Amino acid sequence: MSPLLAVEDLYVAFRAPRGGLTLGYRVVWALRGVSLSVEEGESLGVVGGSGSGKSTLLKAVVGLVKPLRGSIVYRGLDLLKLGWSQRRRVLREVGYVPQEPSQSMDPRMSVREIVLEPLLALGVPKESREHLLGSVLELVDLPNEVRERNIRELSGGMQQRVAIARALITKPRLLLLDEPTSSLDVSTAAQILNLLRDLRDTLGLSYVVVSHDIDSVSYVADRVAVMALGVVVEVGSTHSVLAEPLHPYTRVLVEPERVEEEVTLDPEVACPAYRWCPWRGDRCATERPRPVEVRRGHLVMCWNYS
Amino acid sequence: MTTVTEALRDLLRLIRRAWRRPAFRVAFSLALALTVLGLLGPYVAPYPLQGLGVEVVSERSLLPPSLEHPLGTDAMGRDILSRVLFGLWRATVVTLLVISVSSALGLFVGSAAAILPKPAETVLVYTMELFISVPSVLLAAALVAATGGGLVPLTVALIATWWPWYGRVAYTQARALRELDFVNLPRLFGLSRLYIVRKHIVPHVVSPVLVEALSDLGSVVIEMSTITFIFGASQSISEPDLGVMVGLGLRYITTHPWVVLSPALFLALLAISFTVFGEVLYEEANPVLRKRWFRWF
Amino acid sequence: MVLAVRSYELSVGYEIDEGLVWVVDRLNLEIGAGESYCLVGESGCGKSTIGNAVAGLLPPYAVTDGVLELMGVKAIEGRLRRFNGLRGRVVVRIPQDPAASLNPFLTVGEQLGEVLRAHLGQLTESEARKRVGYLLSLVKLPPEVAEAYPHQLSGGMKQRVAIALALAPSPKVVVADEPTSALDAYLKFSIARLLKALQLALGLTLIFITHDITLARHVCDRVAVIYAGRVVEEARTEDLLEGALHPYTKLLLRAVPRRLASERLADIPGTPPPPGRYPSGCRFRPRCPVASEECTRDPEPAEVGEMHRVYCWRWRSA
Repeated sequence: MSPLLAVEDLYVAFRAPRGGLTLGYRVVWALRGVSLSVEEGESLGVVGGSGSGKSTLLKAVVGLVKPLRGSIVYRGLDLLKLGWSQRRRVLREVGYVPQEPSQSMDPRMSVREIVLEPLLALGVPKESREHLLGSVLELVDLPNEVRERNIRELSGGMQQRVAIARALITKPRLLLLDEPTSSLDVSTAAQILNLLRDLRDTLGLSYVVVSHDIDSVSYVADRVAVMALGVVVEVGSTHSVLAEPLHPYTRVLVEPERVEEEVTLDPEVACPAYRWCPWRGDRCATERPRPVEVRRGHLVMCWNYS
Repeated sequence: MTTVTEALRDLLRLIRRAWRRPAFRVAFSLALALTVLGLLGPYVAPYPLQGLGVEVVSERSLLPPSLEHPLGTDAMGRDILSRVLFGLWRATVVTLLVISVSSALGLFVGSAAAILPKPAETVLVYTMELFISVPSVLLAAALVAATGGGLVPLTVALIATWWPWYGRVAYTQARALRELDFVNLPRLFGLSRLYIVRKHIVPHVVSPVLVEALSDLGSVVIEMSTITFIFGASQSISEPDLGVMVGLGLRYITTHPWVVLSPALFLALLAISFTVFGEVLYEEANPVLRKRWFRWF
Repeated sequence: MVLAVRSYELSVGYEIDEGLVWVVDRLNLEIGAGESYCLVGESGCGKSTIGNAVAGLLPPYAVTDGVLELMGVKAIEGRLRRFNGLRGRVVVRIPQDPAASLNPFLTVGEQLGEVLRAHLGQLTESEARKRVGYLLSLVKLPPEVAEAYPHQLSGGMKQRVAIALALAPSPKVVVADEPTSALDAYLKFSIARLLKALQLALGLTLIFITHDITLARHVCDRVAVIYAGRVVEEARTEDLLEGALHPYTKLLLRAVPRRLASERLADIPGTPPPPGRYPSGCRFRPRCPVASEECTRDPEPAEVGEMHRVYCWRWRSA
């Protein structure tokens, strides 16, 4: 069965200011040949540090950034080859919950306006809109009376629920979540994680959850992909990757207590872990490691395993 | 339009905060009184035809203030009080018109510039910069020379030179917004850029632009009067205009001071009250130091 | 045992537009010299305020009550705060965001030199360089970093420089306010471990403020859990993590996702109360699964083990 979403060899680059006191721009490669897939009904976690490109991956799928190369195939259609309006129509089945609820929702709007906004361009009649609003608020466990409240008045956890509600209102098949719990307290994050698990079970949604925290991700994901500096270094079932991490970078994420030296990732060389990897060889600097299936469904991109 | 009502509500809150300061209370009351007086002016002037400049009574020229003519008469025998009231009407109407039109124009152009694709954005930004660099007095002179004077070229010249300032304020504010996700997400929902400008950018930008506009009221009054003062001779001298009156009455300052003092006084009061009103409002909207700043020392 | 930090009924509030709001309520702390002590709690619980109070960095519109002593010297007494001579020499704070505390216009060496000169007086070039090199080596940075500007450094390196800056005046007490929240996961551990190593090597008293209760295990001897401005439980790290007794602590420990454990995370319904709207009696009462009538009275500390104190009426039952 072909996967629900398949990203193939994706490249995305930005112009970023040089930083500090230097003027001018430099080119930053956010994604350097990323290939991942999500099956129907599956939830994939994407983990990595800052600069790994995990957020950019989601943004490329929904169309907030334009890739330079590669393909994004959703249910058999390459999104990058479609026209704008066709793409919009297909992406109705994809819900997106961006990072930082305080930035992804207009602070002057009420909950109702925010959650219903995706429906505005779809010509949904008024009565249906109210009905959908009610059912989606119930799904995320928000009381009906928050409808008219201004989003600013709500706590971080409730704001995140509103963002999820907004993503669910178009009845998507695939939900993309960017750091859903990073800005939240421990107890609130637990509530959201429980909610995500429940939604997955009751609605049969497929997920891609991006986070820097591998523990939160493992709570909701069946499979996990580890990214560093725009490449995927390891992917496999959550259990397999966490119980026996293969790539040195994955080990850093899974067992940070064991890391002695400072982990420095280098974008200039083929394997981002080259600079500090205890097993590095010459090949690692010049040739990008090819994926090797070490266990069933568990792939690692490291020359050590060939 | 809820944007307007919300902007007005924010404004009201700002005024209430500014009300604490006595200078503001005086300025606001005075400005309000003068505006009302100005708007009602033509209807309460005792000699409306003289005020308008249509009627001329040469025998009664240059009379000092009396019961019949509380502010005296000018060189053409016209009642100065009526003239001043008509002039006040002109000043308030032009000022309010200029401020409202240029702020609305600047608001939309600036907001749109922030979200349109790069080429359109560049064109709009350069247009604003171009208009900013034109001094209003020169533009007014050019328009007046081309059309022969009057209220319309004056107003147009003022709007043309003021709107880009608000456009710039709106643009800078809007640019800060365009990095935020909630501005870009509606595109994903299939909504147009116009929708985004209307629903997500303008409401956030209205307040700063409004405050800038209100703080400029005094400057517009002064600029307008400067233009009419300088070009008074080329405009029809029968038209009631405070600047023109001051210009024409100057020569009588030693012999018949009331001719120049009345319009000058009203002009000054209008300009000062508007300016103080605007300045205090601006300060309240952009506080520099927090409460109890003196405790830091 | 010499007490590095001692507070007696210390309360801290802020004067804001709506009036005076008390954030920290009658704190009684006793931290010995050379001890490593964690303050754990969620956002808004007041732990940062406690850290700022100890470091002498409360803003002018803050109001205090009670007593705070640093190395035996009264620093806070009622409304008065006297920290001159204490800041730097006795107590320092490592802030949350290193980037915000580093001057982008000066090199690392220049900034360290500035702090050194402020506390040690005049220094010759070579003396300054030697001391800067020493500070950098303490935080495991190579001496070349002294020539670098902050923007040339990675996040982890910037945080280390911030630590070096804090250690420059040779303080006795270090308050680290969530020094790892802006960093990636593995950096959290290396910075936390660095602080622990420095604490042991230099005999510092470390007050580590965090919302991550599992991090405490690697850094601290003792932990205090803060909720709504009050300490709800205080114990040795192991005792707290293995045998927590306060309902809030227990729920907090079960709300952290643990790898390969698929049981449902603990759901603490509701949200922590904001300052100014604290409930009477036990502040956790509205959300507590085992609350009862007696919880309407302020809980008194119960000594339940060695150095293990719980502020709860119902600790036996949960």
